[in-house]
Amino acid sequence: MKGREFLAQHEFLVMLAVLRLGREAYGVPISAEISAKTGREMLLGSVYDTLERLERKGLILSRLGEATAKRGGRAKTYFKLTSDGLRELRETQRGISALSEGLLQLGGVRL
Amino acid sequence: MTSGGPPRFARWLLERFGRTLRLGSLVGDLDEEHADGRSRAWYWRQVVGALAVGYSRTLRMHSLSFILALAAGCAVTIAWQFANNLVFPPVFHNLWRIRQHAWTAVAVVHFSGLLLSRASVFGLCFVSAWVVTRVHRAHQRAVLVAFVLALTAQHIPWLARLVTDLLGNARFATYLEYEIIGVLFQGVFVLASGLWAIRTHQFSEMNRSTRWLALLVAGQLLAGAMIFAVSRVLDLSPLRPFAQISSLVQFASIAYLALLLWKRPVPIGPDSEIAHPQTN
Repeated sequence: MKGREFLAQHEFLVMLAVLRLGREAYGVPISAEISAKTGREMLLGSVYDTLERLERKGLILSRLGEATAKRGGRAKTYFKLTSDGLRELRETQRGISALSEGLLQLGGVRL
Repeated sequence: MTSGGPPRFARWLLERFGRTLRLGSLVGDLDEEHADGRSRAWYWRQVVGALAVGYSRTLRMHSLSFILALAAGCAVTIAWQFANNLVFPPVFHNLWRIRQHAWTAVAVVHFSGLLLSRASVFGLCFVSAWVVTRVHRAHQRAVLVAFVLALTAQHIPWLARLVTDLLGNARFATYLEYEIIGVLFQGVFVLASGLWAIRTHQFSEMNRSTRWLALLVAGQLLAGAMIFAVSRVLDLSPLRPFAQISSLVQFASIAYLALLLWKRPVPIGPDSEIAHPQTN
């Protein structure tokens, strides 16, 4: 990575979903995973837009998968985190944890 | 499985106007989900969302040069209007006197002035479209369409005024008609000029129909300018219906030329965002 940049919220969510899905990380499961875990829908267009951005930053890699008739003969694109991506994800998570620590409001407890 | 295929128009819109690098995979994902039971409404929502996301990203990345391009085009137009108001009014004045002495030297000068006035209008349209598409090279068609819309929008107050006047007096119908034709003509001419300016092929490499149509349009513009000048200098009222028909034929020809130029495939160039992704 060229400079130090914070991951945006969508980037953070998409990277976590990619990590959770492992070898099955392509558009539909990534979107479904985010919806299932956060309760908020992320449009596929938004998922792909974020994936493109992450790939440009060198945080994920892509590879073309199989094309099926159900997909109109179009290939899937699978994604996985790079080592830079994994490091960035860890640091972001560490930062969020550090900032959240001691904030009782986040636990639903009164001040 | 859902009955029937995915919405074809939605898919066409996405394939034609989508801006993601992984367009094929995105469309494949949507088709797969639709085949697995997602509704047509879901498909449409995803397509609209994907288009909105793509274009808002493009706008964020290129908004400055996009706005600069529009501003440059408008500046050229305003500068021309200012110069035009200084140079050409004498040509249009006292035409009624010349009509009494047609084909005198003064009449010829006025005639030439009217031709020059018309030529400067077409020249301005071409130059302004050229400037706009050169300032913002990343999305030349998009900025060109935005410029045409901006130019057209400038006429809205005047058109609204004419419509209001028309409610009180029927004679304003003619003015309104001329104004609408003028606005449409300007819009389509600027569009065709811009598309011509950003064409990827030399004239000799273009297909025969486009080349002939371009020559026909050039001829029509020349003939139209002549008819305009003659009818103004000599006040030949019988020419007016002919001039109107000529304008409509010109409009149709230019619109068709714009369509042919639009349909020409544009290869991804060195300035394209797709070819050279930028990190934002």
